[in-house]
Amino acid sequence: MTGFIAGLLDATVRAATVFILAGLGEVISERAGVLNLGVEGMMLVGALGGFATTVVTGNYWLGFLVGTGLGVLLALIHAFLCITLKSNQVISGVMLTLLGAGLTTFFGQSWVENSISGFPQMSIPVLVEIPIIGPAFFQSTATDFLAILLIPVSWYFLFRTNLGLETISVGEDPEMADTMGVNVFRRRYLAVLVGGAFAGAAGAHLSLSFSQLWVPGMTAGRGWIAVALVIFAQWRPSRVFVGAYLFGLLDAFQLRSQSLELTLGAGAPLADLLNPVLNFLFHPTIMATYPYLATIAVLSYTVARTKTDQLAVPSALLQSYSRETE
Amino acid sequence: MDRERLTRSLDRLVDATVLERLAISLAALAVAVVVGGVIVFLSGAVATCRDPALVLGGTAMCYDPIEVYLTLADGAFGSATNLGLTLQETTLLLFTGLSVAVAFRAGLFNIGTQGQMVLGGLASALAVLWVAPVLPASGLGALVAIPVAVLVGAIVGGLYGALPGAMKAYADAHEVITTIMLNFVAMGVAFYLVRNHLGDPTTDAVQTPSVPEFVRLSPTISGTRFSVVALGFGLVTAVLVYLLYERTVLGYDLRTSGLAPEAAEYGGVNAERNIVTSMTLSGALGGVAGAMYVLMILYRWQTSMPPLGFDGIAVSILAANNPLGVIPAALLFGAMKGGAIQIDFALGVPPELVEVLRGLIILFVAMPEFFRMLGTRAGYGSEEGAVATDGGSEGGGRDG
Repeated sequence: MTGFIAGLLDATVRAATVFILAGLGEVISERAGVLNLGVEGMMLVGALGGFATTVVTGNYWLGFLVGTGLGVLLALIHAFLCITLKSNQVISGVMLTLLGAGLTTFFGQSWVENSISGFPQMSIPVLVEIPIIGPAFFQSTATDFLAILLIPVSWYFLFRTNLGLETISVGEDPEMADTMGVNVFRRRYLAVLVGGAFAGAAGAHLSLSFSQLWVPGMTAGRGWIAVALVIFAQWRPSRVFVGAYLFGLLDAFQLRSQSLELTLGAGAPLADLLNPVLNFLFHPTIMATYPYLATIAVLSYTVARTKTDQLAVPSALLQSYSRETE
Repeated sequence: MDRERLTRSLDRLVDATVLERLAISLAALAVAVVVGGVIVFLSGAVATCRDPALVLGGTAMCYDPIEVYLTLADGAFGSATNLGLTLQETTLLLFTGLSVAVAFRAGLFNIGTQGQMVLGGLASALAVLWVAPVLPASGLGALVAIPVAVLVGAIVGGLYGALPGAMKAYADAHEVITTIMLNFVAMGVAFYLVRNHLGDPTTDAVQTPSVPEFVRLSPTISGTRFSVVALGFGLVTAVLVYLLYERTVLGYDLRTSGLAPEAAEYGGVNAERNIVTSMTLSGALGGVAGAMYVLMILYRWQTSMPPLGFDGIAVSILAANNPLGVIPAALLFGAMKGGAIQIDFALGVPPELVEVLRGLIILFVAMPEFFRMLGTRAGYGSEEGAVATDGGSEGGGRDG
């Protein structure tokens, strides 16, 4: 059982990284008032771009960089549409997801059979010796460590730097921010592009570090979960961390459950009644739906529990901004 | 999320006049074709082929975009068989496109059409398999079984659409996220049920037994699965949906409830219930799409259904969410699907090109301001006029 828990914890930490990266990017973008529903598409583009680059050059850091850059490129379209052209943020985002899925299926078919050696496992000496949590937290890939590092960095950026506070201000009250001399358009562009970089990095992590392979559609809705995660996290980087581990755990549990036999013995009371139920609940196909069900539950719960005025949603989210004087 | 703000941004889309939307859709189409052509041309640099279309400084460019488009058109309409393939896809896209459009009319973004279609199709196949043995294997039996199948598909799809509708109305959970999540859940549950309990025991494939001959919608064009009955049903449905939304009080209430719930409540309408109704209707149309897929295309339910529900989003957006506009939009995307097989077969261009084109078309439809800007730059209309056609909500982005 200790082995199972240690394995589960290790898998959770590894599965959480993608949610941390994509979630942090979404927090920054939404804090500036721009909802990005294109995360899934950006992740796919980042995953394929990073993978293809690594296959060609053999350099996984370069691959990670390219994946991140492609995320920025897609985010640039989103920024241009939503900030400059004032298009509908929901439509633009969904469209980018569809476009990203289409592009990566079109260009990605031929890369499926390739194999790479992606980010290797690294361990932090001494700390890795701690039983159970040591191997989980202190033996990971570079991108896992990077994601954890980016949590305090994002927090510091948003709440402790001028640039970050200006970013929040254009998401809360762009008019006021403009009056105070903040360039609303520039802050919003920056936030959306940074969000795209995080999403691209999340995708590149998925193909280069987490699974070390490429399959079209491999993100499997994780980008959408990240969007919901941000609401759960109340737009705070620190709570993204908690949410990411929650969803990482569900992801990991499903992967590990194949080795799990959770039925009552033949003689046990109620065995005939409970075993079919247990078989259903712990069937791998059914368990694979738990992260999605949990997303719905968490989303409904968070929004329903918090009255709208208490919900930390940036006041100017979904609003385009145009200056009064032309 | 704040409804009022979403409403305002949706207003901008809905308020644009029909003619303007048509112009935008056509312009978007043209730009998408050009950009798609460039992508095809460039992707030819990395492909391998024996006789390239053009050699540029030592790099062989494999694909000639014009040839690709001509082949695409030929593949879509070039022969009776090709036309049949195009029309069978068009029929299915009519239903999924209407499903998305119905929700969108009420300001709701139903991305869950795919899941509603998967579950509706499964229920419809099971209903047929259950009811067929007691029916005479004749036209009379079909007259009972086919409506039953469509109805069951609509009910199950409708219920599965009502779920995110209720969560939106009563818990304010954003429908984009919940419907996406429910897609994954639907696929998982359907896979489990068919794999473990309801599947065809004679095969390893995850599928139901096939439905009896007399329940199938027989092909109008041989060599394809296109049924003119189904297409006719789709066209009638489109007109009915149009009339519902444009000519009835219920349609008006449904629209205002989603777009401006406070205003609807003020007018004595139960906005929450209407949001659920809109999503139920949307889900029902998705479920019917699933039933049509079972009765017309595959004659059974099988796991990994094609992404018709997602294509429906593109159809609806291109049609500016107008139920009648869905008809030409479905035909266009149906033709692209029909032609995709041909460009793969004749030229070796990956058929996924069509997905890229689809994405590009929505990309450009989503940027109406871009075309307005171009129009203004070219000297058509005044700057002020361009802003006014925007629904006059230009100042709307400011107050808190």
